[in-house]
Amino acid sequence: MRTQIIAFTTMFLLLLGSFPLCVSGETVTDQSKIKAILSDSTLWGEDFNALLANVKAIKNSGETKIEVFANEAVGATPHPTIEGALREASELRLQMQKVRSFKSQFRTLVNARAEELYQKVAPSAHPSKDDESGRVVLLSNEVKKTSYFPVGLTLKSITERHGAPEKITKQLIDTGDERRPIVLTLYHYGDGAIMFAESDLGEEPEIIERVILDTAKVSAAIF
Amino acid sequence: MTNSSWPIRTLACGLLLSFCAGLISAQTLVNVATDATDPRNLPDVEPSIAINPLNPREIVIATFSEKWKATQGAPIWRSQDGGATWEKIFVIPRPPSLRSGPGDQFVAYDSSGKLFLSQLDHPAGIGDTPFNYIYRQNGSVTSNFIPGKEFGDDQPLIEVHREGGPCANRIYSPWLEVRARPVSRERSMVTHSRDSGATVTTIVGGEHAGAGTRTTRLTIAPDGGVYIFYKTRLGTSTSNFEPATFRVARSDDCGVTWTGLGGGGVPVHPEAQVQTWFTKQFGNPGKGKVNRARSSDGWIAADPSDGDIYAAYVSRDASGFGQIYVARSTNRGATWVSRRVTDGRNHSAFPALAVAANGTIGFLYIDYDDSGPRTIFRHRFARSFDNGATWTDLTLQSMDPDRTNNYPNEFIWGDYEGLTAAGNTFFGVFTGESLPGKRTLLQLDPIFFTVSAEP
Repeated sequence: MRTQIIAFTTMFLLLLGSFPLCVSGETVTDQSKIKAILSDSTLWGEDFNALLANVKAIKNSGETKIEVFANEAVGATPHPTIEGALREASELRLQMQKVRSFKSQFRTLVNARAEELYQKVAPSAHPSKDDESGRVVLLSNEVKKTSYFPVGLTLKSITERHGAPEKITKQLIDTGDERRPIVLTLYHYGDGAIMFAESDLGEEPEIIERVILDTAKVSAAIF
Repeated sequence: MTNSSWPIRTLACGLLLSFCAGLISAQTLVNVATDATDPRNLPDVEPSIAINPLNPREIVIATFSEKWKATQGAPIWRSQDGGATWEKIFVIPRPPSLRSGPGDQFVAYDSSGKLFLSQLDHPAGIGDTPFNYIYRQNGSVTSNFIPGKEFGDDQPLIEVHREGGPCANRIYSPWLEVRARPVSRERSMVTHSRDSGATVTTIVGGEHAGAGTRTTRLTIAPDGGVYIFYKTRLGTSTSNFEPATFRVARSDDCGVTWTGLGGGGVPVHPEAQVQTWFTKQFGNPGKGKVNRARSSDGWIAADPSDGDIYAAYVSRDASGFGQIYVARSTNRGATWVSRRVTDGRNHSAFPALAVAANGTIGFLYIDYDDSGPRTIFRHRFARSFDNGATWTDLTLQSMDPDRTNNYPNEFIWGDYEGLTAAGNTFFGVFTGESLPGKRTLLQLDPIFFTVSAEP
């Protein structure tokens, strides 16, 4: 099954490769890097393609970014309560049921297979590991641990295959107390469409803790 | 004050004077980190500093550096030559919780030259809260320290009672209670330990009906009185400031109770309340990076020569700027007289106070100038040779934080910086721009400094 999904996604994204530039909002993004990284099966787990198939629905539910951890994908929008996140999850569920408006060149192929992918993950809500705010979360529908990327993924493995990041920035996660905050080091690819993040909470440097996807830029590359 | 402690202290100060005379000259800056000791270019923020009272050439600094691992402790910086050179010693093992860390930390020596560390671990996940620990030295300072009993959950500092008497070598850790409390009701707490942290007793240090308390700092006077300084939060933050009252409470029984000045302590300023920082934006966000300042507005220190107590606090006064005042008490905290120390022309915060053996007051703080195209932060150091009546001021370093990039916005240097005194010399550490020629990559680093306490 995993091989089929990887093959499907690879073909799907290779088809997209014929469009080198695409207008996303007001910015023009080089989509070749985005496609290359998202279609690199060595970087991702078996549920990642299902997440990608729903990224437009995630965008349409209001999330500008989604934070992908090894075993869960979390909306970047913090809600003061879990109830707020559950409402967003309901909206996302509706969005996930909508027929995607794929580009004509690959509409037939994707529509046929995408239905399977849509069903592999389901939205729910739980408190954020960062700040305990309510977040929408996407987990596998199957009775197994979700796998979006392998635990232990390193920056080295990314740079070896896709080159150095275009930019490196730091991001603070401040929970309002006086504790040492979490500091993320973000490695930007595809004009910020994909940001691989190390956490300074980690014992070992260069282990990717999360991947932050810009839902608009990634959607523009896929759909 | 116990009269018997005075000759001992005077002798110690005299010894320190002779030691310190051979140290780095006044107003020296040293880049603590090197390419070899900091190959990952960590920012090493929120520094604290302590000096071995038996060997003032041995100095330690704690900063946010590498994490502890299953196989290796987290580091502290150590100098054996009075601060000229520094090494990292990886001596802080994982606590029994096996959580990641360190989080917040602080350093202090006891009277016998043994080092103690306060440490905070990180929450392990959803619904989890972290713990503070007192770590004690285990033989050599380069051997793994031993974590004590867990307590509390935020910003633990540490001081050790070095004077003789019934409180000798009592350890105190002031901290902020966050666990299961809304932000507006967080409390100032003090934990004390008779046995180097193996067992601990926690007391509420500052609590006022309907108000949260924060920014707990502690000092020990030569007469054995222990003082905590904290703020009572009286409203919500608007435009980066909120109303608060800064208070001092005293313990005369080794930290068992904090009612030496009556319940609720004593305000150190004449106003019923002042406006102080409570913000994520100390600085001008339109002109560069900024730093949070929520518990970065108070400090307290005791004069080892006469027992006077000094407390620094922030008040946005008629100047329109957040200014730092230093209040002095000559009667064991009962009454206070305060004077403004900063210049009335720039926002200021992050005070740290120390008093030298000769009674000179040292005062480290940060202000910023955003009149140009970029925000320029300045680490400044002021001295008073007349008990706080007048001050002389020097700038240790000015920096545009956007010249460096090894730290995030809103957390440039952390919540506080480090200052202490030994003999007639001030020793401090701040998070600043690496000194010219000291690092391959320009970055934030811990910058050690000394300033003479002599006029």
